[in-house]
Amino acid sequence: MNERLIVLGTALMLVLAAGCERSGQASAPPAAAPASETNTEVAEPRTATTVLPDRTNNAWELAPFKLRGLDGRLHTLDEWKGKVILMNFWASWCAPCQYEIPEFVDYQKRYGDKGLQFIGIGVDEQRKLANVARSLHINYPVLVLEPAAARPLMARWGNDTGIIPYTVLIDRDGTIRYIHRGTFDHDTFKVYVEPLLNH
Amino acid sequence: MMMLKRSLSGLLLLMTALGAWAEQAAGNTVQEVLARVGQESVTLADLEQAIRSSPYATQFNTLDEGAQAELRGDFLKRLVALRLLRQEAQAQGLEKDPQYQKEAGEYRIAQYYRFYTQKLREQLKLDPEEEQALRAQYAGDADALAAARSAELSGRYKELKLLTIRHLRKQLHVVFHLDRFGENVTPDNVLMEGDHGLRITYGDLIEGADLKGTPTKEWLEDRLYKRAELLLLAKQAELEGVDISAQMAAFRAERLPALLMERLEKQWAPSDETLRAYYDSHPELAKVPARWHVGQLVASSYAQASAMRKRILAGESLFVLAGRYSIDPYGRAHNGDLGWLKEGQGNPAVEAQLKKMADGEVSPILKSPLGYHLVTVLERRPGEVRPFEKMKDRVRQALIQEKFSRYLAALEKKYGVEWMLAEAPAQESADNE
Repeated sequence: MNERLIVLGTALMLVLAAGCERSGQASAPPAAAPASETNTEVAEPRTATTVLPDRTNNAWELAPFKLRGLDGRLHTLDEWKGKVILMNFWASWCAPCQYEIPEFVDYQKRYGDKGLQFIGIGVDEQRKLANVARSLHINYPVLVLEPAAARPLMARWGNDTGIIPYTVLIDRDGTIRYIHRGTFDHDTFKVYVEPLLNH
Repeated sequence: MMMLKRSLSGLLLLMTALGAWAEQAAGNTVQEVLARVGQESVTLADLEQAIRSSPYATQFNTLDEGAQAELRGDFLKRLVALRLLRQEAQAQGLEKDPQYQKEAGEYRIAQYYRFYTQKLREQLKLDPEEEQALRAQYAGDADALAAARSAELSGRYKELKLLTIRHLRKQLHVVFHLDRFGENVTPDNVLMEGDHGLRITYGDLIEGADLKGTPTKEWLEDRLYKRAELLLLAKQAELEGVDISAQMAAFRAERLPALLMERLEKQWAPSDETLRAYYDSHPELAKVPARWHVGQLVASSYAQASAMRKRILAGESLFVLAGRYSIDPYGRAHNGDLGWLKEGQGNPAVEAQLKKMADGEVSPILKSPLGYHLVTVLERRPGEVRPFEKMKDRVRQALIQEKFSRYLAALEKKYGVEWMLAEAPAQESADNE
């Protein structure tokens, strides 16, 4: 068995390295310009950074989606209406996603009873998503978004380049408070999420 | 927990045990010992760290439980092998070897330097207003914010580093002897010196450089100043009593077994003649089997096969018919396309038929326990014996693996390996339905 060590290791490395390269698909987009001020009375539909194509800043006014969760059931986002939702788009091949998920698990544990609800949207094969959910002990719902169907849904949430990870913060009344591209850091959680949980 | 004593080469239960154990891993203490290797041990924490810092850390989490257990087992065996090699390296006194001493010395300098430059970086902070402005500008884009912040700070860092070096040059009484550059310069000539044994010789500068002819003065000066910067900042960190013992221990732990391996490899495969002899005595290494791209239809009865054969000869496609009628589920799912078949892998009667048929021809009906086969060849590649010159790396790898395997078994005997895995019932790899 020992002589297989080197060979096995090398072969695996090749296979796995090839898998990781796909993360290059999600390149960072240029920072979105803030919505220009207009002279109308109506507030521009925008989040902290992104103008959503549906011209609304409220999650419950966006076209709803229905996705199957790792629990095998169909879910819609409004099941969690009234909670502070962090909707995190991720994929199994994406290393930064895997760095932040253990943090999310911890936040969910600590702030779940204060109304925080993480929802993972896994843009990937169901089997791989389930393996990662098991390996990282994910304690919140993960919904499966077929990669082939991902682009239009992601674009509706302001992510027209398909960057991953991508996290949308939705307040209890549906207001989209903040959208984060890339890895979510603790600082950002403190600034944007914690204040919503305190009341 | 049941103690399992077994040899490194006979780990039949290891994989399953690791699979079940991994389930409990999150709750268990990470200091749990998985194997004792002579005086050392491999803990759960060691294993987890090895996996997490490997190039397949991300992919590991996406694997099914069975595959994860297998990979864990593989990693554990590697860690055990490393510890065996390390103990042997130590027993052979490789730590006192001049090559090791020199490498460790350079590593020590690099660690001190790294610590000091990091310290300089940490002194730099944006003002709260500047920080806030950047945050507002790049809200929601963490990468862009980080990039803007470091762009802002990198200019200041360069200035701070320059000032620090100037200050240290004075403080440590550093003198450069640029006048010693010239035709008569020898490796022993000191080109920089200062307090606490700071010293750079001409030999230090040209060592390891890919030089063609005499280096130019500009090249030497550039190299000299870079080396001086490294030594100055490192010396200052050392004088400040920075503790790098953990880094040095890690270096030792990794470098000693690697150095031993390098020596062994030189000893096992010292020359092309050795490789050549191994190549000659292992003809199977160089043999590339013939391959055929095969199409196949499997029928349940001779009569059906015969009817199919007639239809194919009358112009219908074997592949279309296989997609509809083949009783072989793989073949039906792939419209009869079996992919590439290697010589020696398939049914001997089928292979014999493939060999004598022309491409595109339909075989007579071949009977096997699976049914009645009709095969055709789409394309073929003849077998060959690869010449030594094209095989050298592969031969080297095979030779070293063979030797290493025996060597490891001997080390295992010498130092003793004890596996301490909780025995667990075999688990089905739980696919996530």
